[in-house]
Amino acid sequence: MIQRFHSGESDPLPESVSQLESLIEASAAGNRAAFSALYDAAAPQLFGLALRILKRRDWAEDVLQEALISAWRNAGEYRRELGSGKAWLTVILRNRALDRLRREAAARLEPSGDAMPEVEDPSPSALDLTLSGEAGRRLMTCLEQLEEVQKRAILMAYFDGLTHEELAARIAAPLGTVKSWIRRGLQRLKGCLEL
Amino acid sequence: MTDTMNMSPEDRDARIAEYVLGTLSADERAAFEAELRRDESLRRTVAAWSERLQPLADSVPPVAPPPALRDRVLARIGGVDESTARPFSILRWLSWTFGAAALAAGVAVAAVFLFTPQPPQLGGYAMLHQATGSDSVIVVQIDKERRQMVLLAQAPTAGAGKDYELWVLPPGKNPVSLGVLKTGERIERPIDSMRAALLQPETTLAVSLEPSGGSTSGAPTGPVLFTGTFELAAK
Repeated sequence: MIQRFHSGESDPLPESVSQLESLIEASAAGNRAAFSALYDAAAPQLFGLALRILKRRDWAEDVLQEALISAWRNAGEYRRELGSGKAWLTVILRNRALDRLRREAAARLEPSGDAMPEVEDPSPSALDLTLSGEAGRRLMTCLEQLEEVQKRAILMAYFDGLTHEELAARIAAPLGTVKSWIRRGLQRLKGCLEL
Repeated sequence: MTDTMNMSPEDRDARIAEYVLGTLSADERAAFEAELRRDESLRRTVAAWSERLQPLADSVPPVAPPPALRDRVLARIGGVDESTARPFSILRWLSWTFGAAALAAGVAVAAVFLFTPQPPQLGGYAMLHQATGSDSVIVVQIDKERRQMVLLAQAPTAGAGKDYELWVLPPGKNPVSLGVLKTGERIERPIDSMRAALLQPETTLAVSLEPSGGSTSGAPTGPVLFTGTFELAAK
């Protein structure tokens, strides 16, 4: 009986080796198989987030591709002690998505508040938010303690990738007010999470 | 652009949080990122904020990207061709995961942690060595819950027309094959429930030298080169 034992693309990696942190570190060492496992483990969640922020499939595909190639190139900068692999990848993805939004807004030479594709306002998932896991439940509890305007501004900023100016235009509130909602909201969030 | 070094600690933390949240303008982002490249403490605070907000990212439903995107990404990083993939090195693998300090503490100790599956009582590992005391080692990890095994063989190649074959030796019964393995490569494959059930603590595993493709008789025919015992993964 001749059997092939090359790692099959369809076989899930066992938990212990599909840990994102290990896969990022292996990618840093140039291991492409580890990177392809990293892709399989992380790409759907990242793509979901890209779609949520960008609202356009073509942009989301570009951004996901850029983010993952950037993750491969910069894997050597990842440090376990600084945080989870998931959060590291999320930062890369969101940075690329935000860069794209800012670029598109600038290219239109329009007031940036109008440059976003139209979406329902308020964002449904921002207000019907359910956060799971222990960290999620803690964050949820702390978000619930914010004033409604603070919470709404923070969630819109996170999920829609809006700048202070865009948020002010979207909510129709003065820029300074929006900045202070965000700032005080984030401060209270941090204080609450550190309790 | 205001450098965060000139800010009060409160303003500095607020700026970092705004960066992670994403509300800074393109210019503000660029200035902050330039500073981020120079300042490690800033990177730490960014990471802490990213971790705080990560549950928001986790709340978004995953969406499968188009398969062509996977191909494009892998092509851009140089492709994943099994025949050109680097040979797998256990030492490199351990060093990726644990760093040089853990390596010095011993491969066996590190392996207990490395190969701890979830949940731990459902899996385990074995490290098979040669009686000669060579550096060669074959690591077998079993994840019973997922019915997966991972084989890593850091050993000289079996030679032309030969293959290593892995066996489980249940007490009082005939050896049962767990398949052929290749040196220098990481192999993952499913394990059926019958074979998984044979892997109890202290069960002996052995690797014999067989004709290419493995023994055709269902029993080992060549010399046994490596042996070891199966251990439950430590919690």
